[in-house]
Amino acid sequence: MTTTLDGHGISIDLPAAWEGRLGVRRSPADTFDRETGVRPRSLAGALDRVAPAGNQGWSGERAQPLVHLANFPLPVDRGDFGSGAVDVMGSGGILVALIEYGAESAGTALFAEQGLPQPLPGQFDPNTLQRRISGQYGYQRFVTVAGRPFCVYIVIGSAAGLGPRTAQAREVLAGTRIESR
Amino acid sequence: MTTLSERIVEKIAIGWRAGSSRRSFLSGAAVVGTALASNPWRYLTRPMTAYASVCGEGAACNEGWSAFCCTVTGANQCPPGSFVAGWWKADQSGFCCGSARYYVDCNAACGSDWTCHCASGSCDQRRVACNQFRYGQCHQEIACYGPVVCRVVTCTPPWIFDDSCTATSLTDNRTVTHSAPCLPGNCPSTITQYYYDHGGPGGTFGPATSAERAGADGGRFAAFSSGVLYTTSGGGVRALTGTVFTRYKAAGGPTGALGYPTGVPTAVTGGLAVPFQHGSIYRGANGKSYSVSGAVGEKWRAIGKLGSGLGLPIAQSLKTSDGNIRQKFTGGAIFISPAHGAHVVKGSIFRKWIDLGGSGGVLGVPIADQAVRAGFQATKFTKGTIYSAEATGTRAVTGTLYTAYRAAGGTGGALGLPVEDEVRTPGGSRSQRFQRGGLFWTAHSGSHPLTGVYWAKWRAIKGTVSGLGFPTSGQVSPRKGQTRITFTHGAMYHSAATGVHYLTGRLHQEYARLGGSVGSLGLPTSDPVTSGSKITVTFVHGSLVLDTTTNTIVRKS
Amino acid sequence: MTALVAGLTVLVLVMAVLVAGLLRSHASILRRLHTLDGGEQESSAVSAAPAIRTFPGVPQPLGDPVPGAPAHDLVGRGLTEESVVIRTTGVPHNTVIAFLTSGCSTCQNFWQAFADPVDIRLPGGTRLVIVTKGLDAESPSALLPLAPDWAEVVMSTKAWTDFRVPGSPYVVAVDGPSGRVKGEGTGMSWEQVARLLAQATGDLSYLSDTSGRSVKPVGDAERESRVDHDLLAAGIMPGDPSLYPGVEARS
Repeated sequence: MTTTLDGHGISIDLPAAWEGRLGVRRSPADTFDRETGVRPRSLAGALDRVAPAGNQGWSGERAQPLVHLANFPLPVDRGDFGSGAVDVMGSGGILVALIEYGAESAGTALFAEQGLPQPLPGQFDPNTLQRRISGQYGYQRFVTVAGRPFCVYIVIGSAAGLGPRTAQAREVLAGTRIESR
Repeated sequence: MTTLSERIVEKIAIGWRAGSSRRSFLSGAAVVGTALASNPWRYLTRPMTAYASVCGEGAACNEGWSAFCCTVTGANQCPPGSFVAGWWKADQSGFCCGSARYYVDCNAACGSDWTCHCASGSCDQRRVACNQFRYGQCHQEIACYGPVVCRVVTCTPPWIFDDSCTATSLTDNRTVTHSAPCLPGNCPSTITQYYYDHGGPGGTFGPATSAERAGADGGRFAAFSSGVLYTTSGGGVRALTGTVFTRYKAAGGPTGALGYPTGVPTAVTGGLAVPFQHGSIYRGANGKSYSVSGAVGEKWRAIGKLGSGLGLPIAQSLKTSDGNIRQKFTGGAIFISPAHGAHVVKGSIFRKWIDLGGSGGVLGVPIADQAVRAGFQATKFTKGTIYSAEATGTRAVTGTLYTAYRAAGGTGGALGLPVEDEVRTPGGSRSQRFQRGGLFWTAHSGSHPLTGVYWAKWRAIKGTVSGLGFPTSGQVSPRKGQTRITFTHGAMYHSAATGVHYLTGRLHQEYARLGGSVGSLGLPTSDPVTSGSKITVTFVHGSLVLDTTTNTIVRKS
Repeated sequence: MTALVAGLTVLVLVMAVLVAGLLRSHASILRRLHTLDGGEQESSAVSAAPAIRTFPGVPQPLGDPVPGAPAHDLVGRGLTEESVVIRTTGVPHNTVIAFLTSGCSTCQNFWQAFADPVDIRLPGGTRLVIVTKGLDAESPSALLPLAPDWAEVVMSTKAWTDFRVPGSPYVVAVDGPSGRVKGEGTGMSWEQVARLLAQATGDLSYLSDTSGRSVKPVGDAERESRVDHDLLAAGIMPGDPSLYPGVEARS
């Protein structure tokens, strides 16, 4: 059953068994607890320092719309390029990430390609991954759609069935509509 | 031949784990030591390897992450053949004291020869130049890219860290524990953060040469092989590198003459100024740096430093064998003598002083700072003074002429300001012109001024050219209403009725023999007039005619 | 001599503590074995579970529970303005949906339980999703402090309607492959609901005291996770014969 995920001028028809998240990552500063302070994380166990208020280091960053689509349950804690999700992805899993960049990136050489891509099985590579995970294949393209710069990043769980899964990813991308801002 | 200590380590390694080499034992011990140093409680109380305690999660090559650049090259910077290609952050990182920690990917440039391999040499054994992936916020003008060679970490937002990066924020909190032995530990000081932002030990500042410590005014200070970093009470990290650092190092660093840096390096006219506890270092437009400190520095502060108009130093202070200290600046010098203290000589007066031999020349050493008077400036030296005015230029008055000048009232007297430097004749006589007169000195008769009508006459008849020579007396009054000045070869006479006239040679001798201005001829009423072979001078009561062919003088009534 | 006596005294005390601990551990093991053998169930989780829809003061479900009723996918928005589509039907995994509100007092027990998930037990491959009403009835700012960081929170009034939720708190277990509701009900606490779910689904994994799981050091858990991941990456699934060399040898 197709279900539509939409927001921020992006609309995606999700095939059956596919789920998705579409939004803008919230800045940690928005949820900073000034009474208890932030619990800094680094090497586990290094939790003895509390960040001083007003020194959160997030000022100036600009979060952009971000889409995660998958044919498996997406975990809550995900990196923007799908870390966390790809860790629990099975061999039949497909993750499609659609990441928007700031308007200043439109028109640059990196985003010169126009329109959403239609990946082919041969374009997937086990090294085209944010983090190499044995068995997984990745695909990455920077494109501009309706004047908006995006990165399309796809991870497929295994080489087996690469063709059909690439076709599924193509189907998802084909069902993606992006409006100009 | 192995040493005893090597044999002991070898035995321990063998006993520790069969097959372990001495090297692996030491390597393991080093990692354990690092783990204990960086995170002792965690390492001792949690079931984890020392590697995991230092390098965080996902440190093995087969876990798929990219290595840190400092592991690959020793510097927390993108290595040659790669470029800053994108970034992400991990929020609330202890590595950055609770702020976001940023990971900047260095992707291989197309055409570079990076090949995929696993990092080695430490517990950061992540992948090098393997992951064909890009975050994409930086150098978006570069469309062609290779794999991620390695990653740089910083607590500074990447859009500030590198101008090519945009602020489009991407996050991956799963990398929050990733680290390497070559990176700073938890919540480093601002100086350490700055240091690693510039590459760390393999970067701009090189390895540390001393531990970070308290600096001046509540700030912090750390020294490295190629620079120093410091903070001030005003906040922010400042760096001293290049010739400023070289000069600081030569001056003994924080324990030397300058002490700790105290403020922000500031652009000044013609260069850069860096303040220290006991002085300053200035870098000129030519890139050379010099310090100002000690007694010269005290004088420098007293006169208002750059506000004094001296400009930037162009040499280090120099102590001469006679105990004097001098330091040159673009617009002058500070000169200190044991007898007369520290004084400033600047501008055209300084140049004149140098032209005249400086402290070893005719003027000697300065005994006062430059005085500014109405219409002119002057600096006094032990043997004279240099005067500078727009109308008269910069002139020195020295020696016996200077003594006579002062006796004649100096700049406030009849002579006014000097308009030329002293002139010496081959015979040793000296003269100098002033605004309203001249000073003349001979060994025989000493110094005498010419002013007023006599000066005007002397100039009109071209002085020494006329045959008069230098004055040998001051102005005398043989009789009321008339005055006279004698010269080497004649004299000038003046009265209100007759004006000023001169006589020279035989005519002057004959006139003197006849009683001069108080004799029967009275005062001259003309200068010598030449007509053919005869030279005639008329007087109130007659005239004298010199026939140059016979050298005879005839008096006419 | 005094030091020797003092030292021995300390040693005896330490040994006494260790013996007491071992005895306590032994007793606990015996008690659990007794429970599993169907002995006297003075604290049996399953038998102690409150009857469905009969807990005093808790709203009754609308009509009888209808195991096997069609379930619905969850479509709504997250707490940070993101659009969310979560599949519960036609997927290989199961989903437990907790319908909560920020205002109901009983829901606070659930929010608190989810905030400290040590005692939250779910069968393997089962996902917990918390569903609140949409923006028409709830405020993200009120929910953000309550929401756990490990479970998805979806704001969707439509889901409440789809699942015919009578009130909050309310919990529905969905069988993913069939797309059907396996059980539903409510309680005063997650513990009560877990017993309810265990009873309704026949899966004791919901129960903390029979699940066989215990709180373990984080390092152990991480190590287990890594081992599992490496095995999965190598294509070795749970139950793979290679994991049981002894059995293989015997067979």
